[in-house]
Amino acid sequence: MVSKESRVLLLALIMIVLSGCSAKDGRETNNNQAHDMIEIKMLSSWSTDTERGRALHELVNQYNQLRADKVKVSIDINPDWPTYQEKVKTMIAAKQPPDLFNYNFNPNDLSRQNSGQLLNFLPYMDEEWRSRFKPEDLAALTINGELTSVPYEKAGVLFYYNKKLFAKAGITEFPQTWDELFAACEKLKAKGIIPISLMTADDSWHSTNALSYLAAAASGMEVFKVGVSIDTPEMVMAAERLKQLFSYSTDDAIGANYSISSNNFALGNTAMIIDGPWLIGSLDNELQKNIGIAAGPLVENGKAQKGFIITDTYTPWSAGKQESKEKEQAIVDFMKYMTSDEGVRLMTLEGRILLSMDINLGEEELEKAGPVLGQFISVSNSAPESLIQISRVLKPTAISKLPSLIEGMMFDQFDPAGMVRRLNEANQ
Amino acid sequence: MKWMRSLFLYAVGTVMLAPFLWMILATFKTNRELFASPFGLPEHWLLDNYAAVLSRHPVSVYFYNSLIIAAVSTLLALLLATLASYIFTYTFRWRTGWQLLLVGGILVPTNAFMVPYYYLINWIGFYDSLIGIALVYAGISLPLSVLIIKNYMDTIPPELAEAAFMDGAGVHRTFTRVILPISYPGIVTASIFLMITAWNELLYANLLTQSEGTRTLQVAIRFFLTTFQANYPQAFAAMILAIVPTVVIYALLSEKIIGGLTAGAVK
Repeated sequence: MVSKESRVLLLALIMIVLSGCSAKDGRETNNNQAHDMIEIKMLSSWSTDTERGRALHELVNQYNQLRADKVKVSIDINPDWPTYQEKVKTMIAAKQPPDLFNYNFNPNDLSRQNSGQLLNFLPYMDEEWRSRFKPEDLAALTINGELTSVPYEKAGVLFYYNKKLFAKAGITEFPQTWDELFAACEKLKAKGIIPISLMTADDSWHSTNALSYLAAAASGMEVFKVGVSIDTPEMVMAAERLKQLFSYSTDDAIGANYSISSNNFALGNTAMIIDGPWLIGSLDNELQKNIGIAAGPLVENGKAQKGFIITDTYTPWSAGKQESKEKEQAIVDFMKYMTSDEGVRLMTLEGRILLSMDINLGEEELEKAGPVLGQFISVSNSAPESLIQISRVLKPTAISKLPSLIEGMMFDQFDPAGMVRRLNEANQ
Repeated sequence: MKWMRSLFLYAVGTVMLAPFLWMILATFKTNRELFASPFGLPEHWLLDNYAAVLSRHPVSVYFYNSLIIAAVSTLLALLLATLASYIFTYTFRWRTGWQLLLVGGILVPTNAFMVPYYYLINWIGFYDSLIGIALVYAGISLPLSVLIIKNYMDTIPPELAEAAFMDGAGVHRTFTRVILPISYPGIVTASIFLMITAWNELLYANLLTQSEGTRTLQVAIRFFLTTFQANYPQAFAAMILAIVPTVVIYALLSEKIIGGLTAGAVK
């Protein structure tokens, strides 16, 4: 027989469970109160633990105040970028796309654009809004005559160097060519300073940045063009030099992830790193005073222009198609606010994000942005040409293979030519 | 030879415990200290990382959500699995086929269900709710729970059920009064596996929840390891808080787990 106590316990457990199952965010808006209000759910990976996350929240709050009682934008955070991207793809596949989301644009992966689930912004692109963007950015994101992604983040990936450590090795300015850079590495190494932070785990970000710079310096800005073979003598040379560069990196470079590699630089253990502006938030104030920012070095007889840079890919915002015309217009209105001068200024200065939209910052604003961001903006803006980083433009299979191919090359499983050949095969 | 066995056990124990101890030590360091001296002792035994984890995000809410999801999904899966396992102790047409169909779910990768589950949960209006994710976990865990509980029920001598029938008990009464109480170790074993799986699950927790009110502890840990910022000591502190319940459950019920798994090994 089941005892009376057991029944009471079971009943209590069921009640707790049922009450728990109805748990939702207590801060959600009351339905009656918000009856006529258009709600836009924005998916983002930018948590409020980061500068960009805090800036985005501020921007959304400002917009909500501006459109009080009419539109309410709320941000749902999913802090893990890869799973967030997986989730968005699943939602699109289930024909229930998010109201608003961002992603890394890859011309070799147009699954989102081809889904037919995304809102076309082109009919809303009046002259005033169009003038906010560079024509080439709009052209790059216009697929099959539809603009389903609004250009937003497009950050440069530049050389950070520790001036104090450079001075210790007797180096007064950043090298202009790769030969000079390797000579500088020798000098640094001779003084017991580890020249550069590299890594091979995850997407091998810092190493593929170096590979991109080496390849672009030799072959120019068309080196990773869609449909063109990457198995070229210039790419083999770039792979050879990347292998050489690893001999100037930390012992943990092979196997290190982004955090380990970037922390090596942030703690002053290495003299250089190639990264985007998001790194600035990890550098303490004292270190920031000694940081220099530089564009890519050149190679002899190379096709790149002096001052060229590598950039991360576009990280645009897209929206799901809406049944309600009012909601569609509200989404467009919010996107216009996000890309307005006011919105861009806030995200650049507070969120430390470099965006596709033009921005003219005054001396005072640049000073307020801190010593590193000011240099970053200056080097980015004065670059005569740029190229999107290799990990963002190859086909998904090649992108996923690239880190293990770099490791294979480092473990002498194959030579640099073999590495490039395998990468090209994966990119077919 | 006894000393060799002890040495071997200590060596294996050390290998298994060392990463865990290292992680605990790291929670008392600053990020800078961790990277400067990964294997050293903390300069100051700070509790700041635990305080930061508890204050920067509503961890108690996430903890509660994980607990509710784990409890509900386990109860649901056990309810269905015990009934299914019991019916498979009877002989009926296509029994083996039905059993293979149900247990064969173990072999299907859970990622394959992402789109259908997302669609279904949205369709029934359970997206971003605890019951929605608990239903999915119960479904995913059903094949494993049937496998464990059915194996345990197979070890119960059929004479017991026959005796109950002779005393006038029907199919249902025999189940609730005879088979179910005897299957207790098997049910406990399955429930531990289900609880731990539900507690640690990340993929569907990410996919099917979105707001702060339904976020689980495993999803929240990612707040400390984002693309743009990684604070390992705080992430480790969050992991320690997330691990503690599973360690406690396992420590308290390890004998039942081993008993359930080894049931029927020796007749």
